[in-house]
Amino acid sequence: MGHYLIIRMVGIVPQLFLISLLAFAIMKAAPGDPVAALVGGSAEFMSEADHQRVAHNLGLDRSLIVQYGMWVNNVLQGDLGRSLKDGREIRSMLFEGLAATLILVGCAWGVIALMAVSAGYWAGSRRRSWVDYIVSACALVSFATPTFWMGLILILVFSVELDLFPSAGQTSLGDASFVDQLQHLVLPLLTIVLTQIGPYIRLVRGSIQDTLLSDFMRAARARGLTKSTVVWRYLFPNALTPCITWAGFSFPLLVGGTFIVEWVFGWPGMGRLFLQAAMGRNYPLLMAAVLITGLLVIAGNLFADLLVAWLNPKLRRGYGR
Amino acid sequence: MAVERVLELDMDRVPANPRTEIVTAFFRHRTAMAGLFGLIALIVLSTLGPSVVGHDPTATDILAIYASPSSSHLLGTDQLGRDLLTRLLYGGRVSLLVGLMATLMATVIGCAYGVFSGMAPKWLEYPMMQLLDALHAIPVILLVIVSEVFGESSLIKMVLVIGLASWMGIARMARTECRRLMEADFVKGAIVAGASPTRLVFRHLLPNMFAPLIVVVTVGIGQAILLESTLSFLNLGVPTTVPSWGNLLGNGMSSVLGGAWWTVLFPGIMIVLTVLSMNLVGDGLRDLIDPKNRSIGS
Repeated sequence: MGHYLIIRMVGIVPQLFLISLLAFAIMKAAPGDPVAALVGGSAEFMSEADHQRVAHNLGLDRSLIVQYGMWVNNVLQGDLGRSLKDGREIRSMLFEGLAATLILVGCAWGVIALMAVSAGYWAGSRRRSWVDYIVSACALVSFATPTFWMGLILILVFSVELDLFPSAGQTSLGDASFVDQLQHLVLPLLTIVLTQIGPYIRLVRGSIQDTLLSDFMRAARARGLTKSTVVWRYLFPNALTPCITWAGFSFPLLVGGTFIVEWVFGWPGMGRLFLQAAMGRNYPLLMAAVLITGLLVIAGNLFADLLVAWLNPKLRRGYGR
Repeated sequence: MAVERVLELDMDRVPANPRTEIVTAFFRHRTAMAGLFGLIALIVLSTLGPSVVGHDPTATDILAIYASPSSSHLLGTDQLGRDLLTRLLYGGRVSLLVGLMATLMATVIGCAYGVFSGMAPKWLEYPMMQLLDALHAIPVILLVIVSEVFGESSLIKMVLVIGLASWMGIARMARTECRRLMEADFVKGAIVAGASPTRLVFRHLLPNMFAPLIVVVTVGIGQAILLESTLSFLNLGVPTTVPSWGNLLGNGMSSVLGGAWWTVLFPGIMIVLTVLSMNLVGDGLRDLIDPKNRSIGS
């Protein structure tokens, strides 16, 4: 396992480099004048000297390699710069956003895992029954539903018509109790789960079906093991491993979906921050958001891989790779 | 591949033509046929529909702002009093076109990258795969939004951006297929016989990865349509003057809070039906190509 861990970690380095390069390059290739964006409406009244002075202070007049070097250096020291719009420190903005996003993503992952495994097992162990057909049909529709639209429909039903849950924000004004936060979490979470769960259910269902047909399952049953032993010791570890790999691989999808949900529900997370930055041409914030999102995804992938390695006895005992 | 499968199933019967076998099997596949039927219906509706309905998609009517569905406006009107049904049908053209063109582009790029990295020597292959992995670590929606923010929005730019952001999955598949085929005897034979790289790619590799490719492409079109609708919803996609399904949902937030459910419900249903049809066709094709792979999420 240690060996595997090291190989896996080394593979991250080029990924990190490319993502940082990409985050930087995307922003630099973009048209638009960041100085004007900082100054705002009064930019057209600036003198040429003032303009150059602001550009110089922002480091915009150096060569691209130097700018990249400066940026990486700052990032490594934990300094992500300041937002062009309001001069706030990006690090603190992103930390607040990251916390809110992690709550959403973490809960979504948990709920999806729980629901996908139960629904997938339910359908997979009753092949070609009506349960199987209904679960599969739901999974197909889920896969075809746009995240933002599901959000709108849920708001329409549960906020506008039934008035059960709030439609925006993470807390009510002046009320940050646990119950209040939970109420705010319901609709965004439901939106993510309903639109992202489709592929997971299909994967678990297919994997359970295939595993049930394998010889070791028949052998386990023939030895007279109890049903729960067969399911928990033999079926799940073997059937769910490919699903976890896929969960790690498709983690960017989940994060992307979360970003849209944050926008629809005004959830104060990374996604909303990122979209606000994108719409306001706030380069440093945008750059940092892409970088942190990349890190988040790499971390998610790594987590899934470690989980697989831990579940897979070959890798756990160090025979693999 | 088709031949192998048919032979496996029935050793005695020699298939007349593997292509006919596939087509027949496809027509027997119930859900795939449902998807195909849905797609044809959508294409017919969006090409012929607008002229049948008889409303102008851009004609505003201040007396009928947010009119609920009635006999004069079957699906109601939007915030400017424009007929929703007409705009929905026009929107179908845009959404289908963007999805199709963007995926076509992604396919070309993905195949080129995948086949090239599959055939490349090891020292080149490794960085190419690392690049692919690194790109994969960034959610597509992030890439697309970042590129959409800059410059004027137009249909062509939309296609370019979605195409450039969604070729990675196709590249990965093309590479895997290419590596597999490079081990096959007929490809080794062709190399020994002195086939040029061009001939190898276009005569032997690409035609043989057509089957798995078409599955990925079908699902990709659906995903591209979803992406387009998301971007247009955020006002970052197709110019707001053009009615696409995403644009119709563009001010969905204010419509929803105002209770105009029809402006949100119907465009969304169209998107779901289109993507669903695409996925059904893709699933059907996947079943035909590899019956064992049946239920794996894409």
